[in-house]
Order: sequence, then structure tokens, then C-alpha cells
Amino acid sequence: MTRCDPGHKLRGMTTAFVPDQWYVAAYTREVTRELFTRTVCGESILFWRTVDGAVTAMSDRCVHRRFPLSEKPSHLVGDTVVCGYHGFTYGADGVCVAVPGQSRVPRTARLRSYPVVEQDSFVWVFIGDPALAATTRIPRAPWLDLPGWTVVSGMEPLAARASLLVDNLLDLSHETYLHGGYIGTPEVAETPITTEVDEEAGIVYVSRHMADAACPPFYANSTGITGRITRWQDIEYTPPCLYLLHSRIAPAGVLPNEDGSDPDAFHVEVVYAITPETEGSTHDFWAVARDFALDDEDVSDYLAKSNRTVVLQDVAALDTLEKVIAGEPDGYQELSINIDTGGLAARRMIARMRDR
Amino acid sequence: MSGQLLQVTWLPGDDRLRGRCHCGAQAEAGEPVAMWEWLLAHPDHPAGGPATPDEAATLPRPPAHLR
Ligand code: FES
Ligand SMILES: [Fe+2]
Ligand SMILES: [Zn+2]
Repeated sequence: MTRCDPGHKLRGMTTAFVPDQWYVAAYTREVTRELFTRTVCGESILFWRTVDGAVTAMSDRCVHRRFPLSEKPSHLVGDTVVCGYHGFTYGADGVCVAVPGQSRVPRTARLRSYPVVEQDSFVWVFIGDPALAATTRIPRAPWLDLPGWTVVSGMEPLAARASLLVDNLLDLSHETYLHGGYIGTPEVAETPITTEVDEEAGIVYVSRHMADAACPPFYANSTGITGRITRWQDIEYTPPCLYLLHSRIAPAGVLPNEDGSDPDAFHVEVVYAITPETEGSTHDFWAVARDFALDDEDVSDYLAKSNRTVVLQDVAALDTLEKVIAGEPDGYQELSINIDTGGLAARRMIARMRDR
Repeated sequence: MSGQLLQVTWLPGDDRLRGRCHCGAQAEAGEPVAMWEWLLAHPDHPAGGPATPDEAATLPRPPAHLR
């Protein structure tokens, strides 16, 4: 049932980034009239809002002597940012509009600017050739900004390469072991999965439908269900950045109606954005949207606290794994079994996108 | 969904994987690496299904520093 599989470094799991893609850089709430910086795919990017509220994204390194524009005493004046070192001043498009002591601004004095879009509560930034941005899809996570849904969210820094988080999220059987007592129950690891790859759309689907399972505390405490449940986990991963887990929880045996309506189930949309920071570190954005107990702050607090705990369990494990892998020679061995079908599909799709 | 779908089903109560290509080709395998290799070979799916690893291939290779 098992077979040796060359390790990450042989099997297309190198650490380079997929170019010419949209990545989640921040939550919209993080970008304000204060200067904000985040490194995405190795590029340090400065974000701020214009007076009219539009998000701008440009290099966080002054063209003069490389001082970070996010660093005090750099500051905004209207719709310009003034470098805190010698005063080079840049507009919202990154073009330098003033330098100290002379009236002529060198023509090449401009910051690299990045295509940026606000969508589904995220700030998406395009890494690669800007000419390709308009024709490259931005995957959707509509529940994060939709009436009828309540969302809790956060971001945890991960000191591990993004591919380790992809592996982790594509194989939820680990919930049973790493997250027992939170979201894991024996049935998760025991239940077979169906994996689908849509080559044209560039999406990997992994489904695990548990007909009769124990209800883990995460769902018992948020939904109020006390007995056994029918638990569906439908993963939809759009490499490289956006991961959705469509989670359906209902009392055991309760199924959706023929017409597709599903009034007796609880729906939770778990969203992750997997954004490489550097080759060995990742921004682990997580969000949990629900269609029940919409105004119940206790439920919000509980889900936020529990999901963060679960994310931090993964972070601890993957931080450790990164150290181990980084210290091993290229071509170390790993061994894949049936539970890895989805993770392997994701790796292959990412390798294909990167090498295209 | 576009129709260019590759599917791998893990048969309940069994350890086998069943793969199905959008061209209609189907095969079974005992593990996912061989299964994907066979599916992604489209349109040239190897006859006889995914290679079954022989006994030697299922033994771990020695660590790199011993090779
Ligand atoms: S480093 Fe920015 S003005 Fe000199
Ligand atoms: Fe996890
Ligand atoms: Zn085929």
C-alpha cells in the first residue's frame, strides 16, 4: 500500500515561488492611512490608502539609499509618502515627485508598483509581470464578505516553506492526531477520500464525507449539537494561494433536500490563504465563516480562539518539520499512502505552474 | 468545472485507489504516486495500469549519507 516517493526537493517541492500570480498580502482592515509593510514572495511591499480610500502597493525600499519607507520617520503627506531618511517623495503610483535640494527629479526615480485588488476581505497583490495581472484569475472566497455569514479571522507567521502548509491542509487525516480534542475525531483518519483534479481550471478537490461521526468540540460547542453527526469536508484548493474547506455539519443522517436547500445543517467555510513570505517562511491567513449563530459573540469568540489554537498546533509542527527538512540533504525519502492523494495532486499542479 | 477532470476514488472498505481520466480510461492502483503518474500520462496511459511497485521498491532506501 505504500511506496517510496522521492522527497520534497526531488518531487517538484522546491522552494521557488509560482510567478505571475495573485497572492493575499493582507486583510483589508490592516491597510489604513498608516504605512504598512509585508513581504510577499521575497518582495518587501509598502501598502497604504490614499485620501480617497484606495489601496496602493509599491516597493518598500527607497530608490535613493534603500531606506524602508514603512519605517519611521517616513510618513504620508496627503497622497504622497515621504522617505524618512533624506525626503524623497513618491506618489500613489510610486513615481518620485520631489527630491531634496534640487528641482529636477531623475527620470528613473520610481518605486516598483504592484497591481492590487481588494476582494473578499483580502488585499490581493500580483507578483510577477504586471502586464499579466488583468488576465490572471483571482480566486474567490465570497463568504468572508457576504450578508448572512459571520466571520472570525487572523494570520499566524509560519517559519516553514509554503509547500509544507499545502501538504498539511490537503490531508485532513492529520486532524485525528495533531488536533484531537479540537477538530479531530477517529472517523476523519478512517474515512476514505475522493480526489479530483481539474487541469484546465487549476483546482484540486478533496472530499471526505463521514455519514456517522463523533462531533468534535469545535462543532459541538458552536452548533449546540450533542449527538453524532454527518460531517462533510469538501476541499477546494486553487494553487498557489487560496484554500477553501466547505464544512457541512448536521445531526447524523440529516441530508440536504432534493432541491439543494439545506436548512437543517450548519455550514462553515474555512478559508486559508497560503502566502509565501520568503523561501522558508509563510503567512498563514485563516478565516472561519459560519451561517448560524450570526450575532452570538460567544460563538465568535469560541471559534476564533479554537481555530487559532488549531492553527498554532499546525504552526508548531511545521516549524519543527522545516528545521528537519532544511537540515537534510537533497533527495531525502518520504513515503506516500492513500491519504496523500490530494497533497500529491497539489504538488504536481504547483510544479507545473512554476515551470510553465 | 471545465470537464478536464481526473478523479481518484479511494474505495471504501478497501485499500485500493481507482483512477478515472476525462478520456474514459480507468485503472486501479495500490498507492497514489503510481496512480497520478498513470493518469497524467494522458493520452498515453500505460497499458496494464499503474506500475505495481516490486518488493525492492517498497523498501526504504538507505539514508543519503550511506549511499
Ligand atoms: S534613502 Fe530615502 S531619501 Fe535617502
Ligand atoms: Fe491542521
Ligand atoms: Zn486520458
